[in-house]
Amino acid sequence: MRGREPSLALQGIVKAFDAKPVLRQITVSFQSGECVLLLGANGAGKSTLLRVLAGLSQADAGKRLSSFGGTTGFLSQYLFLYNRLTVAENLALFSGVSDGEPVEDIVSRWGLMTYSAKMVGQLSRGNQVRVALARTFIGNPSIVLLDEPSSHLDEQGVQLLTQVIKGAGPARTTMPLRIVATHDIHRLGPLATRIVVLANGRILADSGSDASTDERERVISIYRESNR
Amino acid sequence: MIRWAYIVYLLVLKELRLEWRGRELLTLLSCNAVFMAVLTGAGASSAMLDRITGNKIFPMLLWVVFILSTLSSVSRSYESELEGRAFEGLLLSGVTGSQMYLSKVLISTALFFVNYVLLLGVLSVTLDQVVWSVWKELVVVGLSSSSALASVVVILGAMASTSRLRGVLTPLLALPLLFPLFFAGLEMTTELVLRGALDPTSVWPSVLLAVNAVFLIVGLSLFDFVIRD
Repeated sequence: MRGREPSLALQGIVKAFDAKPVLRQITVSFQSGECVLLLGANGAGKSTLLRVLAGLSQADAGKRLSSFGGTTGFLSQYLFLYNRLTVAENLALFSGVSDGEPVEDIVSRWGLMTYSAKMVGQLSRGNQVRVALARTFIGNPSIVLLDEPSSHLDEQGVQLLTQVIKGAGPARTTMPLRIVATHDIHRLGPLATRIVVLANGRILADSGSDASTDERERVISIYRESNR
Repeated sequence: MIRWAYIVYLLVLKELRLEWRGRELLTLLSCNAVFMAVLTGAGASSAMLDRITGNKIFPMLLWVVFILSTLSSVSRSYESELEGRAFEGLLLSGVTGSQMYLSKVLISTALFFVNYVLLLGVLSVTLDQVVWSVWKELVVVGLSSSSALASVVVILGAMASTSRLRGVLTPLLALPLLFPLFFAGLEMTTELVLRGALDPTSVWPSVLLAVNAVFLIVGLSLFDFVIRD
């Protein structure tokens, strides 16, 4: 059954910046509906891997193969927002180009009513991240990539984030592929159906799809060991 | 096709809002243009040129100042995209590079044309020239030159955007490509100002049309490759 679902695969991906290797021979495949937690120390290559998965960065070698249709939602370290547009204008633009839901619905779902007329550049980092998350989920993307999504959010924001990652947010018939790069195992770990550990640009451990609790714990302990 | 054009419209609206809020490019363009035009005009006046000589150097001054003032300002046209790399979010939302390119060309054409009109006004005053009799033709030349200029600098601006030397790089890369445009604009303006009409056998309107078509096709085809990492 899984084999017929859309998949996103990387084959032998190599990427270097200024001759310094960041990704070394990454081969991995993800399928629709999976919720993958991507763990790794700072500099392990998580952000670069997400950019390659999004198709925004070209690899120096290897292939990216995707059978997904639709759009990709990506919360990156850059927030992909215009600082000199208001929250409502940013969301209207992204919703307009991807044929998404009305801005009022997005604003109220993400609790952005107070800020909707403010310029994004005038908001705190936490609120900017919240706007970027709202932007990420516009138009029900088939792939959702989140890079450290909880790092600047307050408790209420994290609750909203976990609801949306679980699929309780926008009404939808099929679940997207969700890949979350994070250090926040405590709060986001329970959402994952699969855990992948990255170290020095290589995949150190992979629990596989629909991993059991024991298997996930084993992979998390490998991550903790690699961080010592 | 309607959906494609609607997305371009949304992007143009975004560019207009960003320019209106910051007024960076228009302010820089017009300040550079007026500054250069006043200086060159004052220089020509101090040389006590008669009206006929002023008539002869007017097209040359107009085109030198137009090209230079535009090139010295365009490196900022891509700054809003780089702030939060919002263009990458647009690409992931299904916007194509060609839609992004076309929206930037349209807004840049409008800004460059405003710059051209401003220069025409300032230089005709400082050089004591009367160009009202051919204003329609000058507007057509200005508009088509502005669109050709925009087609080139938008793609070169994107290419140079990640370089710390982009302020120098964009004009340097653009300059050799702009020679056909410069000569076409200069020759047509000269014909209009000196003879009051375009020579029907002149090749320059065709050159300007060809420059527009070539740069636009190249830009539409290559912009997607240029902006991706």
